[in-house]
Amino acid sequence: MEFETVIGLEVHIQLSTKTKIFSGASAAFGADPNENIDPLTFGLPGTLPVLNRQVAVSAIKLGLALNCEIRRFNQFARKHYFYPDLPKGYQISQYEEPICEHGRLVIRLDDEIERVVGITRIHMEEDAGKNIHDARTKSSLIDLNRAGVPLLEVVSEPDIRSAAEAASYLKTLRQIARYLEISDGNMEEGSLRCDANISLRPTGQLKFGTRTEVKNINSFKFVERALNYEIARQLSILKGGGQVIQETRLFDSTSGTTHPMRSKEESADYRYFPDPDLPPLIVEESWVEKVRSKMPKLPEELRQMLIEDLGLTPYDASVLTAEKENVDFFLECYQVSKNAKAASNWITSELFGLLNKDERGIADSPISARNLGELLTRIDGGEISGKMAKEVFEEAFKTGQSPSDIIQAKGLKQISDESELLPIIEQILETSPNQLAEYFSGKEKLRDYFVGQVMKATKGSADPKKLNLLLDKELGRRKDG
Amino acid sequence: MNDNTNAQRLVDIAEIKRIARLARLDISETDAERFSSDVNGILNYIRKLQELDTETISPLSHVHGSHNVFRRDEQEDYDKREKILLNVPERSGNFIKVPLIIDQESN
Amino acid sequence: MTESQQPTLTDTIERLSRKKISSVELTHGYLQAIRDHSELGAFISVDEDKALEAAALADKAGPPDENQPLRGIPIAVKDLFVTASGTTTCASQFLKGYESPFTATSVQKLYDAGAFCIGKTNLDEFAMGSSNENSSFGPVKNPWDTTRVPGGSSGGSAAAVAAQLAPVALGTDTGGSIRQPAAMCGISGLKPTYGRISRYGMIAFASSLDQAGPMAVSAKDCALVARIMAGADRLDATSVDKPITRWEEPIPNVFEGLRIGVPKQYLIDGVDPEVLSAVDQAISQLEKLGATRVEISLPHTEFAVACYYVIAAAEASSNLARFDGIRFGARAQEISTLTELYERSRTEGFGSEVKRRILLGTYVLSSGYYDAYYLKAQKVRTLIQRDFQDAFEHECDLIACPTAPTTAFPLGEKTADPLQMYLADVFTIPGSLAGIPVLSVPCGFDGNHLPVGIQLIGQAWDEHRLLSVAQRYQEETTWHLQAPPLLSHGGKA
Repeated sequence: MEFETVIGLEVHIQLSTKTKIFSGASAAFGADPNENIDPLTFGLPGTLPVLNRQVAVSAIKLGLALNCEIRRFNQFARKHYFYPDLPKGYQISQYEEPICEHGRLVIRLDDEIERVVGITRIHMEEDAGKNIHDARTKSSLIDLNRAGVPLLEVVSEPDIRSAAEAASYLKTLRQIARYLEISDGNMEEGSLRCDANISLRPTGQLKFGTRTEVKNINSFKFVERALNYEIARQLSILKGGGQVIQETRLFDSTSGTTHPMRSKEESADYRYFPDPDLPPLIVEESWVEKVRSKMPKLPEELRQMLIEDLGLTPYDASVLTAEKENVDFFLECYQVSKNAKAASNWITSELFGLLNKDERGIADSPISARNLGELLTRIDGGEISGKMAKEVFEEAFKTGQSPSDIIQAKGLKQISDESELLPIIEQILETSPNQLAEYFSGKEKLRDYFVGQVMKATKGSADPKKLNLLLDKELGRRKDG
Repeated sequence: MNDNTNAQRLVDIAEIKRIARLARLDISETDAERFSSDVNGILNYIRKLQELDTETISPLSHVHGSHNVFRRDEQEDYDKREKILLNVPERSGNFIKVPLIIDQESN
Repeated sequence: MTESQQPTLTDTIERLSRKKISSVELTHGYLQAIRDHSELGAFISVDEDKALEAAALADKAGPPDENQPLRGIPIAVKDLFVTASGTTTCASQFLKGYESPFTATSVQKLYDAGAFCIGKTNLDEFAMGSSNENSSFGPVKNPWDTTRVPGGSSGGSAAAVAAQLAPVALGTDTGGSIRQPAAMCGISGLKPTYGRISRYGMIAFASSLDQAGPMAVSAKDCALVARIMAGADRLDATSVDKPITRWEEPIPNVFEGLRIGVPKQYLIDGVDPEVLSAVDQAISQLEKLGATRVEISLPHTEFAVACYYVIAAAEASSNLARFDGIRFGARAQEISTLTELYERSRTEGFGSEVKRRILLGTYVLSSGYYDAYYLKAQKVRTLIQRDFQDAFEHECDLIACPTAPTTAFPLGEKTADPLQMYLADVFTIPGSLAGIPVLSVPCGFDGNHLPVGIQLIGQAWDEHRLLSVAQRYQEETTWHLQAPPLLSHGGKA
């Protein structure tokens, strides 16, 4: 029997606000233990939450980007459970009335195959603190810096059919969050965390199979690995005639396996109720429109534009739109050079090559988009050769100098003037009577020889286009003569 | 006002114990019996709410109609961190120390 | 029959400003009285040195400042408001020794107006109770009869004012915790409109109901203190920005055309006839001042207590979840697992009534019961709020009724039956559910010479009218000025 995989993802996106969702404590990552606390973060008696407006704006932005309906009347709810990293004994979240619902996200496999994944809901909530476990001293240490950092939880429909699709979904979601500048999407720092509901069913069957929830998938590297492991595990159970148990499993990145949570979870009873401390959040249509009017272009739209209007390949378009900084760099470069193809090639091969070698991002590029554009303009204008440009580019990357300064300082300039180039060509032909004779007798390949000799004589600065033109003219003249 | 004539035992001792666990209270057998009886008395009184037809009535969570009360995303420096940490019953450096949390996500 | 008359805060301010007495002298007097009447159990903590220091500072301050109308006034603060100085216990073992890093906004506003804290008053643990017998620091006794309860939960504050241990005290009111003890101790107490005074720094019992308010000898005293405490606070999203005027100055001609509604549903069984008669006479007095008495109907009154106990218990069970022994408060000793830490810390830290309400609240919110209890109660709350809105829209300008069905009852009388105790709040609860302002003022005595209180209930944000009516009433009557026999008999410990 063949089986089909069904996956739904719950992704927590940590917002990159300056402060926490309900207090003015810093939300920055990487502070010393319990550095970013205040009475509210610590859940001290007498403290009250007040909503950070930026969190609502971020939720609306993401909702619009994922084609969601934005709820007008919102309430926050308290979700109760006891855990040392949860200071109040409840998490402030949204329950039955999430701010965004009924959206969809287009994902892509291999740049060609398009899939649409339904978005069930997006809601706002606060993050918990962090625990460090020390089995040796039989203790856990709690750091509440992260407690109260704003999160958007994005819940997908069970529309995902493979681990690869899940990875693509996650990448696309991260990409959008970064485009919207609501999150840095840094999975290694926990800005993006993913739980997956996975089940298998016989192909063709409508009813879902029994699912497991895999938690702790906290790195891009592990998404496919964790899911594929769990899919294989369920498959072998089902093929062996067994039954999958509905349970929560943790992914262990060192072994690459999932295992059931040892502690028997109490049947969760979160006792949700509307938080009386927080007045309702009402999102009027006018507010939504205001946010919409300030939305940046999203990756999918830009990708289409690069392909359709600028003639880039789907692959290049995908590479350039993967990160907002990349496409911004490209567009700025294109603004100057007006040559999309060249800009794309130079950025994706030359620039990325050097950046990758130095493990740098495009934001740290020593060459600005404008300068690269100028360099490309000079190539297209025949001022310098491609080969020269590459040298200039490398020099600029190394020193941080602008390409124009380098060109000027080195006196690099292409010889394209006929009065300068023609005498050189004539001299080469004069001093190569044998080769010339062979050429005229039909050995046309020798044309390359003449080109090479000219290049050698000009140390490579002859304008190839002009050289070809003049050489053909001169050869024709000598043949006829 | 307390009509005990048709009082029901809505919450038995096992249920009280389940609720106590949920609320992280460790109640003794005797306490469970007493609380079960108290809570039953109160719940039987509260049952009178069922006399009202509230089908078309919306629930009230906030007495006044205020809404959209926000903070700006601006950091407020806090200088009493030490006083907060002084109240922590057991510390390890600036961490809060608790008995080992068994088997959870290493978030 | 009492020789001494209760000094009002207004008088005391007057004496201070005319330098007839210094703040240090005044404070010494109150500190002495607190020591003399320690058997009342009104205070949980008193920091004499701090108070005297603050008094000395006030005496040294320059010329009168209109922004400091309370300069040099010691105030008693219910030990449920957190204060950065000293401890805040909420009368719970759990918080014994707890030192808050910050001061409640409402208390800070009084400090800013020149007042200082003389001590933190006793209360029912986490404000859960109607008799102040649920304090882990021992019960408070009623200054009018020390074998009786002072009412609760702000029993310590009420007793402190009645026994002249402080010129004014702060209380909090969730279902009657300012008004009922005010009535039972023969003083005035105001529960303002929900949202009028910041809740920031009040240890939450039931967040949708809790309101802070003053307890003092006269309505004028309450008016002055309340309007200083009032105002929107950026740290409390439920506080509301509404205009505040000088409430201590009565609205001229407030009785002109004033219709006082008397709800027929409040004439229920179990209400002491002597209470009813005192309240009736008070309403007649208001009629003499120009008001008209109209009978009104608040049809859902009988459901208020049931509604309240679902909502208050549910919110309490949630608000008390943070008391877990992890970040602050009493962590149980010799625990080896996390579960033990939670269960033992909470079980040892909380008293019976607190546990009872946590259990009830947890139950009504738990899976499968939410709709039948919590959601139902929220809907009934809508009906109760509507009752008041309808009455104020069509029938009357304010409502008058008894504050409590009986005068102060003997200590221990109701402790065995929680439900009977809850029913002591039958008249105070509806106003709490509706979130509207209610004032209780003394209006007579019963046969045992125990004070009776009358409640004046107003529309949301209509405190000034309530306070004006009560101030005019108190200009005509002396109930509020009567001191308990304890003071005139020289009944010092």
